Amino acid sequence: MQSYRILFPYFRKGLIPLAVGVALLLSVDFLQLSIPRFIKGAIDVLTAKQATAPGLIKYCFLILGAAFLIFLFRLSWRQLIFGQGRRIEEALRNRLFEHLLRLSQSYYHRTSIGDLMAHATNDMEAVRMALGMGLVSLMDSLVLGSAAIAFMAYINLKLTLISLWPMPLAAFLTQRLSKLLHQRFEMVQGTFSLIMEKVRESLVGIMVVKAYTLEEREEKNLARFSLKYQDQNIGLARVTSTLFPLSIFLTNLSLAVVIWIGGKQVLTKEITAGDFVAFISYLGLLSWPVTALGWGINLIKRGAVSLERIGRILEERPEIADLPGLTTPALHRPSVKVKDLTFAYSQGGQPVLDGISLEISPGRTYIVTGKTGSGKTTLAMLMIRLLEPSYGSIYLDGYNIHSIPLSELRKTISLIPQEPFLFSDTIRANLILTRPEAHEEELQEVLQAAAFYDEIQTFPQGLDTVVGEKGVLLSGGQKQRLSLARALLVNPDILILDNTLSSVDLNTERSIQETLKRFREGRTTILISHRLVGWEGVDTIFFLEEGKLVEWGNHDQLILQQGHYARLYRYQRLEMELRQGVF
Amino acid sequence: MPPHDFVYIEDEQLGRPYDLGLLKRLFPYLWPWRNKWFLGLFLSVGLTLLDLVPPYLTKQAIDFHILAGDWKGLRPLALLLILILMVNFSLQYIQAMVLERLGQGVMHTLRMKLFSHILSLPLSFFQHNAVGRLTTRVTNDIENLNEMVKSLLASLFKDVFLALGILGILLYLDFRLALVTFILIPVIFVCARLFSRKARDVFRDLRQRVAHLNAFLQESLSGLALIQILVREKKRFDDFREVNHQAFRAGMKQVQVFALFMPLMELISAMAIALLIWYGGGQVIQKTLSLGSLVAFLSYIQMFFRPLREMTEKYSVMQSAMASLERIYSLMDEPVEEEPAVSQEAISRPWNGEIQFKNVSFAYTPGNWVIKDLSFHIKQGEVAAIVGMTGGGKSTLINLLEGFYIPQKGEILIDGQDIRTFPKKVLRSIIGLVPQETILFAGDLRENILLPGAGASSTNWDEATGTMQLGPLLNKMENQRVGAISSGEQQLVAMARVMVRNPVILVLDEATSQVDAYTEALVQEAIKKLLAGRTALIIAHRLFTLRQARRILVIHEGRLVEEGTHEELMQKQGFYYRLYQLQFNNNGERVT
Repeated sequence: MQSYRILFPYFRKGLIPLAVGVALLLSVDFLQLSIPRFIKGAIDVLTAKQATAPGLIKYCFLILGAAFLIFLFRLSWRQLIFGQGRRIEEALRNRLFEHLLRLSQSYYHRTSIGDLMAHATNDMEAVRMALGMGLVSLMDSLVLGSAAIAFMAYINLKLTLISLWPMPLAAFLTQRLSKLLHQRFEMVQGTFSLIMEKVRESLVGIMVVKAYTLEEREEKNLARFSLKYQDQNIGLARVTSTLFPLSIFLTNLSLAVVIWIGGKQVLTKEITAGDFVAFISYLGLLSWPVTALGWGINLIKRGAVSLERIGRILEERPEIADLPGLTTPALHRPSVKVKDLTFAYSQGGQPVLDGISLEISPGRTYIVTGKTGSGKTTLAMLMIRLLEPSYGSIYLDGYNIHSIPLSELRKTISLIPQEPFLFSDTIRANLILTRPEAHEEELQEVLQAAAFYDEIQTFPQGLDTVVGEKGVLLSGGQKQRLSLARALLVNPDILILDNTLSSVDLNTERSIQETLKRFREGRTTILISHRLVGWEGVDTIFFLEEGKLVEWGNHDQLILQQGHYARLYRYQRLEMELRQGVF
Repeated sequence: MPPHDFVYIEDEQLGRPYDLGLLKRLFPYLWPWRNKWFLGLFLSVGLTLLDLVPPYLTKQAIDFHILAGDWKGLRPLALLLILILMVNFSLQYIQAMVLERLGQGVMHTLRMKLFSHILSLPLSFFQHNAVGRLTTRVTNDIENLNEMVKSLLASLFKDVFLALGILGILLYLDFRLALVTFILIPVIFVCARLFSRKARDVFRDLRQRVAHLNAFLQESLSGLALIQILVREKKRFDDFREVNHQAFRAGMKQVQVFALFMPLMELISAMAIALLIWYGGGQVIQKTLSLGSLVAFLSYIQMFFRPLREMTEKYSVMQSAMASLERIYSLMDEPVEEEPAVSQEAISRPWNGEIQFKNVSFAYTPGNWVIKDLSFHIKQGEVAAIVGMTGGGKSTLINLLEGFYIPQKGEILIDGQDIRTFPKKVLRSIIGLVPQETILFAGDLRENILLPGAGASSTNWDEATGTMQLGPLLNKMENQRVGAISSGEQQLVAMARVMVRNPVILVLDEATSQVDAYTEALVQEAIKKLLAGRTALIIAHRLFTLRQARRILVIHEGRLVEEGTHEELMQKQGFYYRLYQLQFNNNGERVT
């Protein structure tokens, strides 16, 4: 229950509507209890054989009046209390999202998005249910239940005690069975996950399944889990089909007692016939609190567990954040200096970068190359502090990047990631993401530079074409060119292109190379690339191998060295010749 | 699993709650369970009758015993009531269990049927359909049906029975009073109808907003690096706040609709009570109605509202179940891999393993030819290696030979017979495939090697594991789930899998990952043994395998550009020669 502490501020804010809601809820309970009193009054009038029509009408109107008030109050408390639950859910979700935006990449490296989504959906829902239904059924059943018993005791204490003897038994059995129910439910859930995993495994390995004709084996395996699931569900049903009818059975048992003992009491004039009928009505009112109490407790418990999970995310501190009291230094034509940079995802783990030192001068063009997994992307991420180095430092224009505000650093150095990411919006919206105020001519200019402008003209809606979820309507090359245009629109002092042109065909890449030169005149561009042919003119090439900087220099120097670069370059040359049909 | 593959953004549309066309297709699955179904229905009727008894007994107690001053008669009445309650309790239990067995049975059958259907879909289907989504069909969507099968078959009937039963008994108790109370029934129906329509709209809107919210959230999380790179956190948060608020408003709408309906039903039920007391009370005064009947009337009326409320609640269950059913059927309607009419000859023949490609052309998507007019012939027992650059069409050759894809032009023959005339299982048991990446299944190592499919037998077990030197590993990992094993060990396991099957044709897609010298020696030895006496097609990455090959086929952009032994091709100093020089250093070690 500790975990509910997170919600205190929200409760405090909505205290008044919540208090009014609860007050109305309790009023409804008492009004509900008054109806059997009125019925009793009417019956007493009838049995006393002194009934007159106006006397009856009085009770009718009392019942109608109470019912109408109940209607109004219920209408209000449902909106107030359930509304409050939704309001808190909204606020909590906002807080969670804002927090997630600030967490570092290393957090996302060890957390799956699927899990986070589950917290943001299922857990949030559980919290809302606890605050709405859970809270209401708990209070309602406690108040309504005890008040009903009080009214019964007021009519006749002896009858109340005798008729309610099954209640403790009911409570005891319900509690016992609920525990069993929970255990079996967990088991069923566990098997459900197994089924899910089994199906997933078969489908991921579908090629092997087909090649080795394993269809029957896979089916047999799944059938095993599926049958187990079936049996466990039947076991679970055994508990549920006992639990719910049992509580009804036990309340009805009280009814039998009332008919027998209570009937006798009417005859011995201990109670009136009206009392007798009212008593039966109160018993009817009791069946709800008996089931609702357990349900409410359950919802609140579940909400607590969910809140705990959400709380754990909220406690996660962003590893990368501005130090307090940072001021923005004035940066002119910034250079970058990397010193002894080492990075590993976990402490003592295999380093992805291992003691890298290099320098980037303003206004030049660089290539960082090497095999997949050699650490090129990691180097770029460290430069803009998407990751923090395990050892070593990076200086921008002489300032350690830790002493520059994050937003300033990332405005100075911009990285276009390998996987072009587009939001499910229009091309225009994706383009002007960072500069909403950009003019139409500027858009045209950068799109032309990225060799994408003419193609967009062929789309029916032009710039306002919706790119679909994650840009699915565009080809890989189109997405890359759009994301390049986006970067050119900002035109930062230092631009890092991480394999940005990998899906663009050779001829287009050539033309982009030309415009890039013009666009980046006097600014720094770092290309992370596998493709080397055509980029021979860059100022410096860095070759990474397993996290180490093994070769650097310009094209001619590296060709002379006859090392990694020379071999890779020659391979690509050959590949290109072959593709162009030199043979 | 690709990162965008989440269940939350499942197609959020709701089905029509009662779609007869869909239900008709479900019927064959229900029919085998007809006994349980009828038993469940029968019990429903019995339970309804039993539900109606207690208020009637109360009436009897009041009219004939309490008011008549006969308290001795009360005891048997109370005992009868207890007896009925116990019977009711047991019947409820039995009915619930019968229905659960029915629902679970139908689900199991349907799940297995769906799974086996998915497994028999062509490989190209899996290229376009995310695994996560397919998994959801077999799990969550099937699960949704359970609730429907149960409620449709029993609770719904029971609710209708109960409502009708109450109406009947009211008429029996007092004709006129019943008719007076029935005035309220049209009111109830109008309210319920208005509500269900309103609730459906509100519910649909809410689901769409929530789906949108989740999609937004998920998109933001997958694109978070970009958001941080571009310093767009603030803007993104503002957008989220808006989307979140829309979901909140849709939620509030739902709260409002329900806040109106539930209390409204209670209000109507209270109006019924007032009506009964006013009109019925008058009748009691005039002695045309007994007091007991009035009390029974009051109980029955309150009972009457329960099934009505439940029927409205079931509505949304039916909606989502129908949507699931629709998705399941659209998957069931996907055409399975084409199978030829099986000729007996194709199955029983002993195979030599001669492979022939005749003018084969193939494109995954129309117009983009990956294989272009390719012809070659590998004789029985011959080892052929395929080399070429990445993306040159090498793995496509395997896909075609295994029958995963059918070439648009030309034909592929095994022992002179077109593979299109082979049942897929026969074709795939003739060919032993060692894929580039070894997929390990749950289960221990022994199970992972044996993999009981067509052609697998444990008769070659000792030889296979002996050749692959897997003894120590097997001992180490006996009876435990296969965990992380090295890439060299994975290659050995993959080859052992083929060895126990003893196929006449071996297709080996060599792994590119490097292994240590000791394991490399083991792998080379294993390859040699595996090649003995078999026709083999190898996508080669090792100099060792290139030297084993009698023939090397150099494939470039879907065409055969050179052919010969390693020595011949090296002498020729053409494509292969340059490729070789780039990929291997002087010691024959692979460098790129």
